[in-house]
Amino acid sequence: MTESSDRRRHTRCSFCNKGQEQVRKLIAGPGVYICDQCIELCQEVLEEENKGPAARRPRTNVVPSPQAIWSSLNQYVVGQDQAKKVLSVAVYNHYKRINSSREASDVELQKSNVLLVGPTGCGKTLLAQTLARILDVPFSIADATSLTEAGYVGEDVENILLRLIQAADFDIARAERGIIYIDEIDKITRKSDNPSITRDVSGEGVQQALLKILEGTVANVPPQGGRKHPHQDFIQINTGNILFICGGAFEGLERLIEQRVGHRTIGFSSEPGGKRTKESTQILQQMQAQDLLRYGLIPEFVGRLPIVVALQSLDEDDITRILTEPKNAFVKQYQKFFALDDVELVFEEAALRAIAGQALALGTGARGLKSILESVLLTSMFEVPSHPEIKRCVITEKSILESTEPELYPEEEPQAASA
Amino acid sequence: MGDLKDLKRRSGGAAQDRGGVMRLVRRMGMHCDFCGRLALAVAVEARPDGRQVSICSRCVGEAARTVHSHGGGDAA
Repeated sequence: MTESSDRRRHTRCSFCNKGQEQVRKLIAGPGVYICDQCIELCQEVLEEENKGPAARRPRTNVVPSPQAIWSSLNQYVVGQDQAKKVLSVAVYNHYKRINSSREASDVELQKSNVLLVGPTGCGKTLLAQTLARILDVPFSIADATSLTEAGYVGEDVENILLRLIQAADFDIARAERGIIYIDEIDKITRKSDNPSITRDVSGEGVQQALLKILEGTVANVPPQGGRKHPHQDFIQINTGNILFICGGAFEGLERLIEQRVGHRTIGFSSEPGGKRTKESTQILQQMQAQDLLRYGLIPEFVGRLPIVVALQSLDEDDITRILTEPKNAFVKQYQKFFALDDVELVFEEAALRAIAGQALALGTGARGLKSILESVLLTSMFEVPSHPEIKRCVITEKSILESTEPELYPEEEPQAASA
Repeated sequence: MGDLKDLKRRSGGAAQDRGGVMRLVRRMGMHCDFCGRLALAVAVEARPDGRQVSICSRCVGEAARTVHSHGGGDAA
């Protein structure tokens, strides 16, 4: 028997173990073989997958109009009208650009990443999350504070892409059209204007590392996260069509803008270290690229974020509306909790104002609401399930301001309640 | 064709005994045995004789084109 015929006899499909004489064709790989029948079966398996839920998911080819995006944002986010308008247009244009890139054209549309500037708790992250929900695209939130330059202890910038890939269920093509929200971007500003012998590995270095990713490149992402090493396989992902939304509080930016425009509050009301109010953050509308540069962002980084949106601090009216108006408003959420125990939860109008006032005093924006409500309702949530006779729980202004217990009523009684 | 198709529909030990179960897997860090690339979202895997073989969707496509083309494609 010749060597060739012996090899032929031992050549079998690595999948079904059939010999070459049993199949029509056998394709060879490095030490592995696959027969025509198994190829056909593989195709079937893959086709079935394509008919699965991932394929049935509506693609983003049909992007809602800016007005539709705006009204959807209105359902979840209170106030920030200008920011919502800018974001609606930016996102609509971004996806229009992706869809148009398939058509050959002389005019190439460039991508426009977004920078959200606004005080803590004003709705930056919520805006980005709501956008992702409306558009049904993979969305991930990355934290800029943990990022460091490649080679230093901390997370590499490519790891923010891995989170998006995970959000897209490892569908790279889908991930390449997703949205990444990089939070706390103001924490990677240059630490000092003076050149130093030590590298700014978590500040300017991170900005430099983010440049190519923001602009659009084929990035190599380590599949297990962590840091790269030479003997590792990488997932390749093109960031050209990924929309980056960066958000940060930029504490103190108002003062830089004031210095530039020559508008400076003097006297005792200036409150240099005071809380940011709706009025004090109004000046953010006049923000320009040079203010961000003075704050510590490098010019290359600012240039890659052409759309800058300023958000305002929330006032008492806004916070009261946040309590009741959005689709998943806190008051609605707690009312549902109590309704599950067959109890009606009622907030008096004055109580809502008092809660808003306390949240404002905390200086954490809408974030403080949840903790205030939890502490107010804790005893009621403890008592109500053990007392089936209780049918109504009324939160009054007194129960907020004086920390007294909410009023519990056994039967429904006519009350002058509002919410 | 029939054998593997039947195997695909079955599950458990009996199918394993007969050669392997072909199924789609999503797992991190898995390689295609044909091209060596990281086979991420779409890889088909079978275990004949307890051995694990994987092929990525890209190689399936290429192999299918080779099979349907005239000439070439034979291993031995």
